[in-house]
Amino acid sequence: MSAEKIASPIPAEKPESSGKSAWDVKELMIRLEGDHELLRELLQMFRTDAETNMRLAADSLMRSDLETAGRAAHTLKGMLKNLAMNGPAEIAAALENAARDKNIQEVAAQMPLLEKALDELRPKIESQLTEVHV
Amino acid sequence: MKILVAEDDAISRTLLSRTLLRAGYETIAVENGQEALAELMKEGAPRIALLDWVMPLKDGVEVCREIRRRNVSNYTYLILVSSRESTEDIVAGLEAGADDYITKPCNTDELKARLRTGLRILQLEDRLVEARESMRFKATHDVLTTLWNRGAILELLSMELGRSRREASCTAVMMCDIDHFKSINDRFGHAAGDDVLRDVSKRFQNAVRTYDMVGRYGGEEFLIILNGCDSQSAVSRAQDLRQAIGGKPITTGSEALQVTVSLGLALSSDYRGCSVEEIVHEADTALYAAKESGRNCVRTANPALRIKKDGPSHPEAALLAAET
Repeated sequence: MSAEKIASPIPAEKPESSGKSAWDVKELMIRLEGDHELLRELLQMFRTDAETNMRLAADSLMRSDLETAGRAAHTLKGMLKNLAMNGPAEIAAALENAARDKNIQEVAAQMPLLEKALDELRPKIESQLTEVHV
Repeated sequence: MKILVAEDDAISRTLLSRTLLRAGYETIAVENGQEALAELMKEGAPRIALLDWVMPLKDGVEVCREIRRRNVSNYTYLILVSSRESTEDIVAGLEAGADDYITKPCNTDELKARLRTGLRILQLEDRLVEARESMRFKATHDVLTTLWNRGAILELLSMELGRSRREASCTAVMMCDIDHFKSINDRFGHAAGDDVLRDVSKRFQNAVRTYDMVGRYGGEEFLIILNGCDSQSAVSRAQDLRQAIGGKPITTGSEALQVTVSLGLALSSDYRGCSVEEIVHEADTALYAAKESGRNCVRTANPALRIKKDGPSHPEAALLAAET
């Protein structure tokens, strides 16, 4: 099955200014071997898990608990990378690294960027969930 | 082939499990390192594991280290999965006992290829274990009868005598010989003789308990070790063994041969402090007495008439072995 054929019903995201696409749906569908049912299942998981981990990271920062914040950022990075949400994954990675380096200023700087990136993803996810026919 | 997926993130776990399922593997998915370790320690555990590096309770590297430390009997092929990708990380993972390393998100084709590598290694391991077990069996068993061979049965006897000394119990040592075996070979041929040896071996094995031991000591001689026997039960068990052979003819080709055995019995409780060789010698002397008494009977060694190990042979002393 060719990549074009798999991804044809879902338009690919335009690249962001960073050079990384916010969400490379084409890449994701290759990874899922065209399984739309699995895409739906993963996106539904992402909706709840991303929110939980984002909240955990933000709350941990408030308590200056950089270890927990870093772990939550690591989990977010993993799920974002898996879903080919590469732009936000880079921000999560920067957040994780800053937490590991115990650089609280940098953690505080990255946190809103990641929140914003996730906010921007939300409507796209919802649109995919309504578009994907299983 | 079953594969363990240990991953705390539900998305990664689902994605990996589904990819494996599509590739034809059966999967077991767990959420942390402790559950992974428990699964890998179970009977029939998966032989391949995909372990996330960062996991709660126990991380993937710790699981690798623990599995290698416990040295489970079947080799487990361990693949670390992580977004860490520095050379130091890879080296640390491999040194902890991982066989391979794959970065997240996993490329499906790369993952499948790495799993095939794992399968090849496991198949090689299985073949080596099989060959080792086969060699071990051949080194300790008699080819014709599949009983313990002389070296192995003497080693087992040494262990049993040590145990009965420690536990102040008694081990019965029996030396058995097929009566007139040479004439069976001469009259019916060596193939028939082999049939008799095989049948006698099988009957002995069926007549003893699972924890007793039967070995082929020499040509038509057998050494049988019975644990926890007092003198009365040992004699009665020896008579049962004699009856197991003589009670029913042995069929070889078109012939039904009436085969009998003579047995010499020595009890370890009568020979405290004696070596394996000395006790075997006593059982052999009693066997000689059984042969002299007309065969197809059991004789018990008499400790009062013990012959010194390096002394001359005194068959007349053996004749005085107790009638049983």
